[in-house]
Amino acid sequence: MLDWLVVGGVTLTPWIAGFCAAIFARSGMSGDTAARLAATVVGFGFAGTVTVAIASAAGVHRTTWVVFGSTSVQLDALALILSMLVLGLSALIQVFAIRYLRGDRRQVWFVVSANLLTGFTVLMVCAGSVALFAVAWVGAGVALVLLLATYRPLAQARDGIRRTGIRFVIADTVFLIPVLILLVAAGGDVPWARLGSVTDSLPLPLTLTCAALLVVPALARSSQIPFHGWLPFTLAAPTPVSALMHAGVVNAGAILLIRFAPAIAPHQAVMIGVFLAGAATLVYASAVRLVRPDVKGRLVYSTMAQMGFMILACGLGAYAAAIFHLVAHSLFKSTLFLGAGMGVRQHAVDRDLPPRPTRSPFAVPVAVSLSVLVALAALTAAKWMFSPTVSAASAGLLAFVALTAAVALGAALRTTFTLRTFLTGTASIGVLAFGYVALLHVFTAALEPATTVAAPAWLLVVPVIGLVLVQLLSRNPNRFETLRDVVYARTMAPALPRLSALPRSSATSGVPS
Amino acid sequence: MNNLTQMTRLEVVVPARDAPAIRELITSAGATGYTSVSGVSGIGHHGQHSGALLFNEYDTLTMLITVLPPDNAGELIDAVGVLLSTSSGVMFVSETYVSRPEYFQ
Amino acid sequence: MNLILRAQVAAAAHDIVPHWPLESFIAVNPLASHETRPFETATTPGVVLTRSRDAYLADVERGRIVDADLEAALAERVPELAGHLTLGGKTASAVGVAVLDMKSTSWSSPAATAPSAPWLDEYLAAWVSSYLNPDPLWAMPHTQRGFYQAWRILARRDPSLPRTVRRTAAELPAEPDAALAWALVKLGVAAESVTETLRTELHYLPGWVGQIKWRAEKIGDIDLLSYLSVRLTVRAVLGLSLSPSSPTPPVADEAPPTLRHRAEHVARSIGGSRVDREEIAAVIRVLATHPVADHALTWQKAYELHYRAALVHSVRDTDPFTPRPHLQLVMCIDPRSEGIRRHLENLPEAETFGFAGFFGVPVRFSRYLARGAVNSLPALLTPRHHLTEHPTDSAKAKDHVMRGRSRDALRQSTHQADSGTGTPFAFAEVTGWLYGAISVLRTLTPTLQARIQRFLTPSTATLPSNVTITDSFTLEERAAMAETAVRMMGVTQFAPLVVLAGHGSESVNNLYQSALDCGACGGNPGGANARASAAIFNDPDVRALLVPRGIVIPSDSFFIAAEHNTVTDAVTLLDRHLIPESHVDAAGTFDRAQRTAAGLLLRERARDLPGASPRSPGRVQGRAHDWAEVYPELGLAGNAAMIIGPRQMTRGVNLDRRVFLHSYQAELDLEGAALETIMTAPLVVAQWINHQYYFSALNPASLGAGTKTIHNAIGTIGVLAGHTGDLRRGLPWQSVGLGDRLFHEPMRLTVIIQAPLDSIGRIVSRNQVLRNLLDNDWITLTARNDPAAAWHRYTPYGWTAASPPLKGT
Repeated sequence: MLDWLVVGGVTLTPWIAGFCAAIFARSGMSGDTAARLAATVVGFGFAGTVTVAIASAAGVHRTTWVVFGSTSVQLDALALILSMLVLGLSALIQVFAIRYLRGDRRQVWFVVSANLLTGFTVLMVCAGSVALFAVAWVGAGVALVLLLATYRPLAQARDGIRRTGIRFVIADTVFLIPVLILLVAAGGDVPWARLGSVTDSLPLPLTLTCAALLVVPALARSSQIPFHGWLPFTLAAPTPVSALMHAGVVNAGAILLIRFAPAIAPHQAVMIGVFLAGAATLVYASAVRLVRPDVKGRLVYSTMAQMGFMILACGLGAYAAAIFHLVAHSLFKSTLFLGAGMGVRQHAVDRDLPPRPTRSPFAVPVAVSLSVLVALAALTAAKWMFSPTVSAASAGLLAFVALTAAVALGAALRTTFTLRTFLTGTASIGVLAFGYVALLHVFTAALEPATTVAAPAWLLVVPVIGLVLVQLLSRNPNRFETLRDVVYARTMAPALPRLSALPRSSATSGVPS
Repeated sequence: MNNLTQMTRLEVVVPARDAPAIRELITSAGATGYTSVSGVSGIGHHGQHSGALLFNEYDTLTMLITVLPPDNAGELIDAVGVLLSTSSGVMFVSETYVSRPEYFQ
Repeated sequence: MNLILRAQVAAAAHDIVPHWPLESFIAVNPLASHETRPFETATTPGVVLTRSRDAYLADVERGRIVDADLEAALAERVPELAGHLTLGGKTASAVGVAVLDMKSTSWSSPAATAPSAPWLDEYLAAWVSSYLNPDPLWAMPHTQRGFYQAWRILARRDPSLPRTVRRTAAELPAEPDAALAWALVKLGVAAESVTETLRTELHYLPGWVGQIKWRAEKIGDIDLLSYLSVRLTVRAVLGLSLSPSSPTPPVADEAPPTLRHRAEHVARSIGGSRVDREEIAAVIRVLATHPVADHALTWQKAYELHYRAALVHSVRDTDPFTPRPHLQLVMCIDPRSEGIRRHLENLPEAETFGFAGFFGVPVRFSRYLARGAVNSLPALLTPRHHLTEHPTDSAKAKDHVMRGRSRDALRQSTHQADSGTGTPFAFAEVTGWLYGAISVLRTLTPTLQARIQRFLTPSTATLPSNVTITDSFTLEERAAMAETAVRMMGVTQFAPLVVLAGHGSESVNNLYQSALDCGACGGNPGGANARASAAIFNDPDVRALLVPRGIVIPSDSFFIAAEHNTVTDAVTLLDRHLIPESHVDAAGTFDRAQRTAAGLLLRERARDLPGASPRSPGRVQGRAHDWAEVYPELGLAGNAAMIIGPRQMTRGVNLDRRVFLHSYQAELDLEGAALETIMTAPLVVAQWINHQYYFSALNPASLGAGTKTIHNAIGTIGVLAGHTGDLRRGLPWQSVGLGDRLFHEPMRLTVIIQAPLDSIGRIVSRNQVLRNLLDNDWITLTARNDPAAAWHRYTPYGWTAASPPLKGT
């Protein structure tokens, strides 16, 4: 009985919120009231989930199950972490939207479809078996398209719906094939625990096909190459929609890969494919982001690159790192989206800053070497303290952290080369490095790593070379001119309309006089 | 006249908001300089114009004067003519003489 | 250089209204190029000039327009309507017949669609925005060679173009002039129609085109010549023929009823079935003077006249001069000042004035040791004087710079970590947790979050400093500025404490924050100008120079600057360290009075502000820090009139924060010089603002910026709606409406002046800008010689007696 209550408390609040909002709006209550009510209900759901999570972390209550036949809802660590994230962000964004969408004719539509999306997403992360997961997955896709239809009268919004819809229909149809195979093979629903054994019972070509097909929906939902052509076209929806989408929907790819790991991970070729798709998207989206002039366009491509990083981590079998990235990035990106109108004020504040003093010639090399040393030292110390044994993959991912810390400190020192900056910077990096590694350690402990045959860690060289190349081309105005022009024109191309959209294209090739 | 060189002198009076376009044409035509008088007053085709306004430089008239060799002037005169065909303003063209022609070439 | 072609481009661009960037939002009349012609001929594709018939009929329902308004409107617009008719034995006036016709005849005014060339527009918008990309993470290569050249070089590598086209692009002329000339020939444009063709091309993407025109004049990194070169070259290379120059005419939903039909309907409704053919013919003659096409503007006129009549009626007769006040407050003419002035005048010994918010001190202003500056002056002027600050306390100044540098280092470090290629991943992982916490605080307790932020990073404004007026202006310039201000406002005596209050608006996450700041300060807060002006008035040298000019400022008069925060309604005194011991009490009195006034005004404003309640004024103030708030304040919504005259005309009258108030005393300005300055500068700025609101309200899709909720900023240049397309112009929907209802009543500016009619007439006749606006009905002018005289209305043919006040709500 308690289990039912707990599971219901976690998974049902968005449904109640959406349902009440729809009913109240129909009965003539103001959109404002409906939105307030829904946000409050989801907020309670979040509070309840946090309580459950604390209880289960404290060992009062182990993993909660609710079972109907072979279908089940389970609240394991992953489900709880992600439910907290999704419910928390959904409640926050809905509170934001109470004021942001005040008086908007589509306010109720937003509230209902946002809660539908939240409901399906929570159900998806809490699903304990394949069939339920598949239903929630497809439902979340439909809810997302509904959410994108908030401003349906706008032509750009309709274009976004069309692009998203087509890709989701294809990818989710592909998804249903391996799901059906698994269900037929098991003669019923497959709980996650039995997924490995059910897969093993199938002939090899079939398991390989299943694994490959399972990757497709993950890539599509996370806007990864080759299914990336929808996310950049979804900006004709109000800002809270983008915030919710970039915080709670696009990262679903990793969840699918992790839940279906027993079926996917044994195949190294598939894992390498996952890795490469993530790596390719990461490099491509990083480059496109650099050339976009619009603030939300930059955020969209940044999300794609970040999702590439997350998928890549999944390909390496570093699932805990992927989930860690997922959670942090969700908080990061939703904040940036909600604050997408800060630019003008920021500009006004920056205008009042003092001009930068001229640097001494020694400052730059000293700043660079100091920052590299500090970053490496802090991370090594933190690493040594919390988790001395380390896999090659997580060492590779930690290198990114070291690089970032070095760049951040280096930039600060290059701007203002003083002892004060150095000490403050070093202290902050120390605190952040320890905090980061400790938190990562908690995540790794909570999400027991599945033993897998992942993509080899040395493959990380591939995206790194790509990123270095893009960085070099974008920061060196006077070298590699032809290559730079070619790459620039290619990265600008996604912003350009397709020539096929022309009513009549008859290219002429007359030589101008 | 002693040691003087003949040049062409253009005077254009236009609303201040149209002056940048004329200035651009003058410099594009290769004139080495121009004189700009803002807030000129007078009476013309569009009625009376009071001179400089204290807090409005936008709705006043500006007079631009330039001098350039006669060979270069033709195209500029035509170009200013094109511009004035769609907006208010007047252009006066006259012969003038300068003592140091190298200043204007 | 092809001079003729350049001139043709300039001629084609003549009517383009420059579009200012977001950081210094300048309200403009988007149809300014039509001001030389009558208002009703200003039809532009995609634009309507009035509201719909249904909206006006709804106004009739609720008494917002009464029959008398319609009659007055007809009398103004169709003066030949006179006399009476007999219909079926009943007598009806011709005007009454026309009114009945207006109410019964339906019309619709669908706007022609704005021209669009979907592929080409999107292509050009993408290139222009990438080229102008402010603070780019990867700057477009070759931008130093200009827009056309950069495009030409990169288009060769553009994978979205077919190979043959790329090859052609490689062979295009290097200069934009030559390319444009080539493209025009290739497209088969005859020499005599070049200007017309270019003008048509500039009708596409009006937002970007207006921005390019602004940049060409103010920054110079792009011009319309290079824009047109790219546009027409692409057309030529891809074989996209030019579209016909005339836009498709609007298609009315239904054919308008014939004159006979209208006449029969009106005649029957008056005279019943007994009207005969001759009577109908008489009605036809009457209605022929007011064709259906004119109805919309007559309705609009009636809508405006109703307001004007009530406003004129509420104006008081001037009282004689009062004894020396204890406190004088000078505020911007901005309608929002009216509210705080009215409530502060609850103090009987306080006197208030309205003056342009830059206080007659046009400067480019930068804070102490700041890296940037703002043009804090009306857009009508070019900046010639640079004003900055000099700190009074060197230790604090040093600390201030130190903090600034640390902040810069932090900004730079997060920016670099976020904008590299390899660093954003770990950056998101590390800072995401912090961002999440900030998000929660900002959303749930915005005020607390603002307080924490203020504690961590105190604003630059808190550094005690003096403005450097002596470096920026000569003594003579300062004395002249002081004299001008005194003469324009008509101040005759000075109180012990004179507060000069500029205004600014505080909001976060609001790309249009500059539109809420002071229009007379170029879309910036007016505090700096107020500080400069106060310093000038306190300068003993200036005061000494003013004495021979007849302006005696008593030695016990102290001027102090202040800033009115239009979101919280706090009027904060600035430069408090300058207050002499003798005036500390007076400053304290002012502080208390402004707090009381702010409390009253907040409750008043809360009634109109969406989602606010008069019971919780604190929440209204909290909107200054709320990142989720799209209605931080209503700005100048509702603005409808401008009154130029002494405050006694309106003191004690609730003008609902809808009126620009400029103080003026005709008796002190016998030559009309001050009035001419007022009518050619503050009046013009007020008119720009008024028309910006007018057209943004009526055309949210084409001349307004649409809803804020999908805005996507391009740096501080402007916003897109969605991921691509034209730069949006004008004000967002949240400035003029809520849901699908307008809260801004779109009315053309009603100007009311108390001054000799002759002198007003003289000023109008010698200023083309005023002749254009008044003769073409873009604004209206009502005036009286003095408080005892009757009101007169300006017409192109002379003054006529204004219609008597009307009844109705």
